[in-house]
Amino acid sequence: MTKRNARQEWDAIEKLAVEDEMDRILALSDAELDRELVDAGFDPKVEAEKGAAMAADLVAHRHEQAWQAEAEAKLARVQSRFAARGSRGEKLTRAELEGRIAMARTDPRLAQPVSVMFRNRPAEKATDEELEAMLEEIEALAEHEE
Amino acid sequence: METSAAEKRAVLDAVLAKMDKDAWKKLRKQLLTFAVYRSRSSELGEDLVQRAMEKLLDPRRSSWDPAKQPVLARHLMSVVNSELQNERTSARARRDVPLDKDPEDKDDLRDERAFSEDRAVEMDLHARRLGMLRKRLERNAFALELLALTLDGRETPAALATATGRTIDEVIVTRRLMLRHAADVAHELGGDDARDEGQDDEDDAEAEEVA
Repeated sequence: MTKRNARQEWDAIEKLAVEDEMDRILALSDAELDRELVDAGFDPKVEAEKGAAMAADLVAHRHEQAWQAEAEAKLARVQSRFAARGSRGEKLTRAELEGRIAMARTDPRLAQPVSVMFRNRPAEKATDEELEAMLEEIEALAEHEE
Repeated sequence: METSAAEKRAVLDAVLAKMDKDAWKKLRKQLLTFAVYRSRSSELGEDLVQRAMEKLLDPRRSSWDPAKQPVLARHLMSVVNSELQNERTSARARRDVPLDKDPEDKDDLRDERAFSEDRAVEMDLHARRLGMLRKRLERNAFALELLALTLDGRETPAALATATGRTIDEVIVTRRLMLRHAADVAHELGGDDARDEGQDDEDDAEAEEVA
């Protein structure tokens, strides 16, 4: 084994200290944990309740986020396929672009990914070029869903 | 083998479904104890716990791979630890920005000499830490022996027990004392890793008895 310098030696000690503390805390009983928290200035009962409440909130939030993550992943897959595909060629007016996008929003298969697309930039604020690009993505998505 | 994101999500969902209120309560207490110990601050400790939980339960940010770390509490403690490191790194970066530095200055050539000096200062700090730790342990021959063996690369309690002829329990108790002294030394010398003075006197007393 190569000789370690002072920094590497200290890092090794520090890493062991962290792991040892993890082992120590994981081995503590409920009563011992409570005593440590009291010593650190916490009320263990209040902290325990906070833990249960925070978990309930975060788990609910996780379910909300799950569909967004799925929709984003689906969108990314379609976008990469779309990148390999040519452009439509047909020139639409703004009203036609908005009309087609509005129609896509009513399609149950497309509603989620379309709302993700417009989450940060509503359709009315997008330029014609942006709307056109988004519509092409939506059309690619619709093809993919068929 | 690497677990895919979808598999990780499914495993986490299964674990979450099994966790009752009492499990969440205990998890919070374990994490908070760890976070306060590591950060030496109740406020920062609470913040780190919150961040670790948010990260775990965010499907886009969760990094838990049960195949690599089956114990959820231990994974979360690692997240607390890395959040703390990030906190310290950004605090250090904020401190190190010179007040008169022009943010538009593109001719920011690295001063190699300054870099070497930083490294020298850092190496000196670590050497002083080790020196002070040895001094603190000088009355405890067993702890000193464990330190020497650890620095030599023998890090598991089993390896240390074999090398010293002591039991694993004796090794664990004395090594814990040694590591806690190390944390105190780092704190005293302006390092990051330390605990509050006067904590864990019971552990220390037990280790002195073993020695």
